[in-house]
Amino acid sequence: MVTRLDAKMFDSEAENTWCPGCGDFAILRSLKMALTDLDIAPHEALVVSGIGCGSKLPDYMHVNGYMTMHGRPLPVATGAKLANPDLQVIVVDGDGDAYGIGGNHFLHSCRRNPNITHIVEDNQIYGLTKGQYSPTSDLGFVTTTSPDGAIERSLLPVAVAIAAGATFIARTFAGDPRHMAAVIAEAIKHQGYSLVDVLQPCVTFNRVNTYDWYRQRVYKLEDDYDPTDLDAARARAYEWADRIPLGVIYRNDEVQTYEEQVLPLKAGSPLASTLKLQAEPAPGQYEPLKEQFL
Amino acid sequence: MIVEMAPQSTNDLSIMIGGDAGQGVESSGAGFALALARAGLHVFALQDYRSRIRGGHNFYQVRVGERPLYSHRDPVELLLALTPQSIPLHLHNMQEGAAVIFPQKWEDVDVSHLTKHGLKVDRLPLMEIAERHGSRLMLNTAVLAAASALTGFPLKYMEQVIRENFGRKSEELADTNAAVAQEAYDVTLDHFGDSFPHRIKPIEGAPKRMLMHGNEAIAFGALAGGCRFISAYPMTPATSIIEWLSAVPDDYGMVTKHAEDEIAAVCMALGASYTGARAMTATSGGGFSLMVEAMGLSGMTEVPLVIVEAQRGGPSTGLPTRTEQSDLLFMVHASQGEFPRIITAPGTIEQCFEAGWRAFNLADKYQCPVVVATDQALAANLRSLDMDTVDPEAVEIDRGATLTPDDVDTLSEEYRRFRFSDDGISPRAMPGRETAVLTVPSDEHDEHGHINEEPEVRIRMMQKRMQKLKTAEAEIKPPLLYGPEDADLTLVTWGSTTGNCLDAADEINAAGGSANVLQFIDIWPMPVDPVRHALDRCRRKVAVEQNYTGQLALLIRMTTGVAMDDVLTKYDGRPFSPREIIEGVGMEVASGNKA
Amino acid sequence: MDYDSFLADVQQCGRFGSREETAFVTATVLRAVAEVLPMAHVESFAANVPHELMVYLRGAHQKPDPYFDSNLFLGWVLATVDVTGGRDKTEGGLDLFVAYSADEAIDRCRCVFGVLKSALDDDQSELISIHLPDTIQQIYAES
Repeated sequence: MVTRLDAKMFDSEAENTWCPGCGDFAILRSLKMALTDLDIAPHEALVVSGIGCGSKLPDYMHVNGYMTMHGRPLPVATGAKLANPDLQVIVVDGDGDAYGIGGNHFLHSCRRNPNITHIVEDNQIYGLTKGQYSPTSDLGFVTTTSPDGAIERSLLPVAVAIAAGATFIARTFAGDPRHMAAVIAEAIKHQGYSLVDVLQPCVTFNRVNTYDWYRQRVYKLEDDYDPTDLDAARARAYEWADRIPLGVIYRNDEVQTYEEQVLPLKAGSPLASTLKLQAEPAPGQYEPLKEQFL
Repeated sequence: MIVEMAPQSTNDLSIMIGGDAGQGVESSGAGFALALARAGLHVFALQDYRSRIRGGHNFYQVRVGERPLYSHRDPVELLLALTPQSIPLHLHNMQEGAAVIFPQKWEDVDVSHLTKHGLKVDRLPLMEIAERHGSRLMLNTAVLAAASALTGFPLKYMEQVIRENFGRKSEELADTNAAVAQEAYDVTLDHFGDSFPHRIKPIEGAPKRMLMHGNEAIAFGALAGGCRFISAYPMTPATSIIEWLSAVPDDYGMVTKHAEDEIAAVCMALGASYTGARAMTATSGGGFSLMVEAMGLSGMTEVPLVIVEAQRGGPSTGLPTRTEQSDLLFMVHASQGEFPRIITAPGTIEQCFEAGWRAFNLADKYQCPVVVATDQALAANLRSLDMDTVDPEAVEIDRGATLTPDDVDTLSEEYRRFRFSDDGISPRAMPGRETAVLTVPSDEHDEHGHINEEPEVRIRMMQKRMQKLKTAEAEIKPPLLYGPEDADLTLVTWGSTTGNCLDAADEINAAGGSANVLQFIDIWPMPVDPVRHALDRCRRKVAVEQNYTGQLALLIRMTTGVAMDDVLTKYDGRPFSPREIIEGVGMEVASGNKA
Repeated sequence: MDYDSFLADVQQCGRFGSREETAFVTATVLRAVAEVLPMAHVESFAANVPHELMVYLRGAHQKPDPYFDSNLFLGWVLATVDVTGGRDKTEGGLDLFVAYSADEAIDRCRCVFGVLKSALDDDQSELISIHLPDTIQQIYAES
C-alpha cells in the first residue's frame, strides 16, 4: 500500500531500556508498521499505556502518548476518545495491567465498546518487578511469589472478553511480527473495542513461556475459520496449553460504538465545545436552565 | 394539634416534616420550600435521611424568613407528622407553644404527654380525607395543606406545587391531590381560624427566587465555565452533580459518563482533559480515596483535573447521608510524593456556583489538580437565591497557557511540553497537530516528556512544578471577614459551617454581643500572609468545624504558626444550629479540642 | 562432523557445565536460525549438518517473517541463559542479569555459529548468513 507515511516518522530519540531480545521490540515495530499502513500519522494517534516494561512503549515512539498508572490506561483512553473522537486511540499495557489490577476496566470496556484498540503484551509474568506470577501464569508456575508453584488457575482473556461482550478479539505472537502487524492493523480498523492479546515472551524472567514454547504450541486459524461464528469462537477461546490459536478469533461488526450512541456528542465533542466557548463565551445559553429552579 | 398563645411572628418560623423513607418526606419538604420561595420568602431547607431507600425515619426542616437564610434553626414551631413515631422523635426540638399536625386516626399518640410539653393537641381528620379520595398515600398532601391553613399561607402556592408534582404522572392524580388539599385546608381553617401565632404572609412583588443546593450550583457553574465532560461513580452526597449535568439538554454537548468505579471516573476525566476539553469528576470521601493515585498522575503529568469532594461522615462507610468536614487534611496530603494542588472550599450556594467555574480556570492555569471541597450539608441543603446571584454572564473562561490547535500551528520553535519557565508553567498543547506531538509520562521526565531520572533533571522538574504553587498564590482568595471588624469573638470556619456561623453571629450581635465570622475559602495553598494579618486583628478566635480534631485549626497552625483560642467541633453528622454554636462558644467551649 | 563432536566443540567454546546444557543452547540457536531460513534451502544443509541437528532446521517456514529482527533472534537465545529465580535485591534498579544477558546470548550464538561454519562449505555458510537479521549477521561473520 502506498501511504504518505514512513514508519520512521514514529521513531523516538528516547533511550530504550527494554532487555535485549524482549518481545516488546517486535510489538513496537508492528504498531509502527500498522499505523503506517493505515496512513495514521503520529499526531493523529494517541497511545495510552499503563505500568510495566511494555507500557514504556509511548516513550519509544514519536506519537501522542499518555503513560498512566498501573491498570488504568483503558479509562484514560476512554475519556480521551469521548472528548476528542478524532484521535485514533490505542491502549498498550501488560497482562498485569489489563487482566489483574485493571480487570474491572477490561470487563467494562468490552461491553462498552468504545472505538479503542487494546494491545495487551501478555508475557504471563510481572517483568518490571522481576518475576512474579501474573493472572495469565499457568497453574504450577514457579516465581518469587509462588515458590511452590502458582495455585491459581490462569485467566483465559479471550474467553472473558467474549463473555463480556467484546466486538473484536484477536491473538497474535510477538515471534511473528508480520502476523502481529496485520492483526493490529485489523484491530485498529475495527469500529469498536478491539482486544489484541499478544503472546510475548519475557526473555529475562520467564524461563518457561519462551519463544520456543510458544512456537511449539501456536497455530494460525484456518482460512475457512469464521470469526463471526460465536460458538466457534467460544470453542477456540478455551484452547490453551497444547494448542493456541492465533488470528482474529471473534468479531461482531454489528454493534454500534459507545461514542456513536452518546447523544450530546452530536452537538460536538467536549473538546470542540470547550474550544468554542474559550474563543467566544455564550453565557446567554444558560439562562433557560435557571427556570428549573423556580 | 395545638394552640398556645406564645410569641407572635410573621414570616419567621421553622417547620419540620417527619416520616418514613418512601413516604414522600423529601418531595413534600422540597415542595413546601418551593411554594414559600415562590411567595417571595427566603427559605433554607435541610433534609435528614438515612442511607436506605425505604424504611427508617426521615425528616425535612424548612426555615422561612424575609432575609437570606444561611442555616436551619432549632427548635421548630411546627411539626408535620407523617408517622406516629415522628412525634416523640422530635419532641425535644419543639418550641414552647409549637403545633403538631397529625391525623386524628392515630389513637396511640399520647396526647397528655404532648400537652405536658406545652403543646395543646387537637385532632384533624386528615387521613380520612386522603382515604376518601382513594389512598392514604395522599396524607402528605393533606398535611401540607393543613400547614398552609394553620399558618395563613394561601393555598394557591401549595396547590400549584402539588399540581406540578403530580401532573408529571397524570392529570387525574393532580386533580385528586388538589381536591385532597382543598378539603384538608378547609377543615383546618374551620377548626383553627387564625389562632396560630406564627404566620406566613406572601410578599407581594418580591423578585423571583431560585431554590438550589450546592451540588446543583457547582454543576451549573461548571457547565457555564465550559466544562463539557464529567465522569463519576454514584456516591452520596455527590451523586446529584452528575445527575444534574446528565439532565442538561443534549444540544449543550455535555457528555456525562457513569463509570465502572471511581478510579475509572477520575481517569476518564484525566483522559478527556489531556485532549484539551474541560473535564471533571465528583465524589465523596470514599470515592476520593480511590482517586488519590490519579490525583498524583494529574500532578506529575500536569494535566488539569477538577475533583469535587462532597464530604460525609467517615471513616469507611461512616455516616453515608450525613455531614462532616473531616477530609480536609486528607485532601491536602492525598497521594504519594509532592506536587502542587489547589483546594477551594465554598461555603454558600453562591460560592459553589463560582467554585464550579473558577476551579477550571485554576486547573488550566496551573495545570494541576483542583479539589472543590464541600460537605453534605452544603451539597444537599436548599436555599432560596435571587436570580442574579447565579450569573453566567459573570463567568470568565481563562485557560492560561493552554495552546489551542491554532496556537500550535504557529509555534516558532520545537514544542517541549514541560519546558522550564520562571513561573513553572509550560504552555500546554492539545494533541492533534503535527507541530506538537506530546507524550506525558507518570515517570519523572525531561522537558520533552521522555522518562529521565538524572538528578539535575529531577531537581529542575520538581522546582518547576512546585513553583506553580507560588505563582498561584497571587490569585488565592484570602479568608473572608463578615460582620464588625473589631468584634470580641471571631468564628473561624469553612464550608457549610460558614452559614451556621453567620446566623449565630447575627444572633449574638442582635442580642448585644459582638461577633464576626472569618471564612476560609481557598484553603490550599494557604494564603499565609493574609491569614496571619486577618488573625492578628482578632480578639478571641474560635474555630468552628464539623470534625473531631479541628482540622482547619491544625492546618492554620501548621502553615502560619497561629493557634486558635478554642476549637468548637461537632461530629455527629448533623449540622450545627446557630444555637449550638452560641452555646458552644459561650460555655467555655464544652467539647473543644485544643489545636 | 558428527553430533558428538559438534556438541563437544560448542561446549568447549562456551564452557558449558554439561552436555545437556550444550545441547539445549545448540538446539535453540538453530531453532532461531530456522525462523529466518526459508524452508526451500533447508535440505541443502543435510549433507554437512548432523541429522540430530537437522531436526531443528527443519522447523523452518515456507516464507519466513520478513520482520523477524535481531532482537527477536536474541530473544530465542536468551531463553537458554539460565537463571534461578531470586528475590529482588536491587530495588528495581539495574539488574545485573539483564545487563549481561545479551552479551552472554551473543557469546552463545558465536559458539554455535563458529562450529556450524566449520561444518559448512562457503556457499552454505553464505546462504545462512544472508538470511540472518543484520546484527546477527555481523555476529555470524565474526564467529
